[in-house]
Amino acid sequence: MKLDPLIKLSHVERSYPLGKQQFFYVLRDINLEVEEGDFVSVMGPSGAGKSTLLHLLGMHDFGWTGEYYLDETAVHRLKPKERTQLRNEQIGFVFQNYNLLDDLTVYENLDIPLSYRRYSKSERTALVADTLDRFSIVAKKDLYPRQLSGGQQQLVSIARAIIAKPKLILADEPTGNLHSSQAEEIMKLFQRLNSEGTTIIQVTHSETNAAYGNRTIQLRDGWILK
Amino acid sequence: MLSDLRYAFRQLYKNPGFAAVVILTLALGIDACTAIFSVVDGVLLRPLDYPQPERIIAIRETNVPKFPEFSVSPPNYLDWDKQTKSWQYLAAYTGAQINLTGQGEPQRLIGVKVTAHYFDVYGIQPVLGRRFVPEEDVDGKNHVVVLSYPFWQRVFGGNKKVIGRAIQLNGEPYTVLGVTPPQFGQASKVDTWMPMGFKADELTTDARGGHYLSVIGRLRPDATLAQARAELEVLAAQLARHYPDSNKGWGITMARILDYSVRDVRAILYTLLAAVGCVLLIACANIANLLLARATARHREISIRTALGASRLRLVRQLLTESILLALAGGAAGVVLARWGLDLLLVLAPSTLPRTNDIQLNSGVLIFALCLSVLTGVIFGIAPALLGAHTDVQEGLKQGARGSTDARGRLRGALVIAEVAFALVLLGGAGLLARSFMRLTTVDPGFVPEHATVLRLALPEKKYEKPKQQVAFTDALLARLRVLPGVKAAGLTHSLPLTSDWVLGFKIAGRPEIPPSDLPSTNYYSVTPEYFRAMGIRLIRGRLFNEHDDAHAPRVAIINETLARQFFPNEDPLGKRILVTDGPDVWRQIVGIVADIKQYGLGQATTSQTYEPYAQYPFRSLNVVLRTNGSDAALTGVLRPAVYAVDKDQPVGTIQPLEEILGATLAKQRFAMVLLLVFSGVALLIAAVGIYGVMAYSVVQRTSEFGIRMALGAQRGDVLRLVLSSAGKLVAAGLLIGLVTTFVTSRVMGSMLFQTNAHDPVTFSLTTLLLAAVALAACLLPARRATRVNPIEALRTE
Repeated sequence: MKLDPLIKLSHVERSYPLGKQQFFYVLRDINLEVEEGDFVSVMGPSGAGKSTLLHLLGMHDFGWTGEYYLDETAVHRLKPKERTQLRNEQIGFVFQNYNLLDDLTVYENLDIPLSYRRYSKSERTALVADTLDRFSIVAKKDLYPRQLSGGQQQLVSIARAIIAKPKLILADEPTGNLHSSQAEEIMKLFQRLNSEGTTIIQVTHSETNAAYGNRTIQLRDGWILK
Repeated sequence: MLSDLRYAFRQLYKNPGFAAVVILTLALGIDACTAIFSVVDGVLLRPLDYPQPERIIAIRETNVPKFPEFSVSPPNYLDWDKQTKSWQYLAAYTGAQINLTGQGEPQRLIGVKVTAHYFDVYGIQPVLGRRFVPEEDVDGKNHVVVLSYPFWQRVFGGNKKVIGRAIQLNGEPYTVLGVTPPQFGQASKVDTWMPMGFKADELTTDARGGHYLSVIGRLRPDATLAQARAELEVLAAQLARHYPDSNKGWGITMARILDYSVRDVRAILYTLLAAVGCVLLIACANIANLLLARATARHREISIRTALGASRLRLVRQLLTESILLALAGGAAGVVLARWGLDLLLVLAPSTLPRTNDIQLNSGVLIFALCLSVLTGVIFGIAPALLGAHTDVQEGLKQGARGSTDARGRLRGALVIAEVAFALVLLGGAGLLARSFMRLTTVDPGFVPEHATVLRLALPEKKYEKPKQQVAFTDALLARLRVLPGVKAAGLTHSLPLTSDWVLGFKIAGRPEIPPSDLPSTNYYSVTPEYFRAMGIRLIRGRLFNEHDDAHAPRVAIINETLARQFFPNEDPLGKRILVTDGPDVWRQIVGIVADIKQYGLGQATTSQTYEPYAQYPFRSLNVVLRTNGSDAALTGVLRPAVYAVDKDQPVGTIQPLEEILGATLAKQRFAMVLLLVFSGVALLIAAVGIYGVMAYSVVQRTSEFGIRMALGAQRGDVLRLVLSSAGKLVAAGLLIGLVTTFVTSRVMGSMLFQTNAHDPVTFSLTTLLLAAVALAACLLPARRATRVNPIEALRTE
């Protein structure tokens, strides 16, 4: 029996008004299924709608039309608060520019998603300690992001993304600011996480990085190329 | 919550400049609020330090419209005491001139004569000895005295053996019965209390017209103020029927003792509290603007937090935690500053401000400061927090994103409008008070206060019992004073304007008989011939008194212009005869008319006034006035020896420049005006900084727009106009709202203004123009910066 996909988008569109009855479409008639355990790379030129699609999947954007199912939940029917809850339960984010909070230590940066998800103090302590250990960054726990290299920052960023055990990681150009050797390490890390069961969708310009995934989607002018 | 707090601390530490500006601004605002609140709390709010103070009531007589509030006559008081049931205790008191001898240099004391239950009304127990008993409140048996604590310490070094000892007061022995608690009576700096012991002539029917007592009462536990008032009003009406000559038209007025004692300063203090509240709100608006700018800079951080799962509520909580932490730091600094602020306030405060001993930074005030700080943090933090927490994550996560500024821009504009409006309300209020004060200081008091010194004496009753003795003393004293170097004239009056008053009814010879209760009244002064020269009171017509107007000469009087105009409108008063109802029933011929003087202060209506020669009707209470050639300070040292040369046992009271006495009557208005001017000046400065900040920020935000405009051919003048017009709209809106608010709120200041309309168009116009000019100046710098934008640079930045 075939299981339902983790993500299912049907006729999803995103547009911005230009004037009376005029719209600029960023995403056009997107129909997409992502199975649990997939490692999908979204590619396309600038302005193709890659990041818009990622933020739509991450429920940061509410202005789209169509149907979006995440783990059998009809996202398009959820209220904003319910979407936030679903996002907190299911999704972790990795950004091109890491987006670590500058004024928090590595430990605190890992702790903060858990505190937003109302984990107890003891659970948070255990999970952060586990994650620090798993990513081999225990020695860095009291350092601030500015004291880390780019690769180390992205490492912390990925650790932060997976700490609350999401089913899905959305990564926006995760190696865009990294040296190629650091990029390779990060992509291997993604591959390992994927092999452990985490579904990953990354936006990338790099064919090399895309090769780490098991599927590639090409976007052009808001359309998915078949 | 702890992590929010930790992060908030870290934010402050990371941005010390921002934190310092906010904390300093708040500290100044909270300092002013806390200091003024300390005064309001100590004077108006805190219960008096007596058992059940709300049951202590001040009672006065009233004869509207002539005397809205007046002293009580002894027979009326005794009838109240005997014939009412609402009072647990009722007591009367009046000031007494007391001279202390036999304890080193003679001293003039501040004494109070009280009826037996005076201390019972207050419910206080002496710290030493006992209170009076009714048997001691009898003429001839009342040579006992209760000492104030400071007096006991000062004169007797706190010696407990003073109880039972006799001390010489007014030349007679008085047995010391007790010592009051340290603070009791110190608002009026009382030294001694002695039993009233009404004399027989004070209790006759005729004496009902002699009003000189103050009355206080303690309500029975089961009686209400309304019941007590109703009961006394009924009694007053009965007395008016029984004694129409003296009591017709007289009623009663009463108020809780606290309300009564603060009635003159309540409006001023609440106005000042509202003013500092305005200053704090303006400061809040400025800080909110700073936070908004900062929220824009923190757009990325907020977006990351949202992406990581922070709810809006959680973000608002975190941002508010930071605001409240800032406010608490500002509050703590404000409380520290308030210690000095309060000292400064008390220096500026008029000497008539009651309960100054109760003004302190106590726990109640600190709780107020704490609550105010938290409230302030919420006020300036809530809007930036709500807007800051509402973020477009997708936009915010882009490199260099600044976030949407539409809503923040609107809020910034609204805050500027609010600042301008509040500042105008304050400026308008201060302007009205300043204009009123200027008018007040230009009022002619009717005498020349400069280069005149007043020396107060009270002749003891026993030693100077006879008028002849009193006149002999004053003649000898004035003769000595007159020849002192620098003295141009020396005269005296028994009642000095601005400090005491004698109000008596009078009759005019040849006019139809008038019932005593309907007699017109006049301020009355017993003066020596040189008094008019010493005071600088101008003779209008006729003559002044001279040395021939003595006890053996025909009785004469001098009246003022107001009395002449009101009662002799179509005839010449000179040569007419009048009879003033106090003292011997003697008709006096009017020999002169002098200029009006302001008996009750520059802002008060001029009353009719009558003078009689001191030699014909002397008193033991003396106010010697010395006109000098300007050497008042040098004079002070030689006045006491001059008095002692006449009578070595005669204590000298205060020696004070007349100018200072007049100045003290303006102290309340000056206090309010100075503080409001200071507060409005601060408000103006903060508002100007706020306008500057918003315009400067707006110019930075619009740099590329200006660049494009200039690239398209806009001249510098065009850009300048563009910036100034956008600022002008905000300022104009603020001025409009401020004007309407000032128009509505200034009515409450009506009672504080002298010959100044609470809606004075000149004041409103000037303050509006001033604020507009300051706002324009604040906008000019950013506007000029906008005109210097390099189009190429600006477009490259974009």
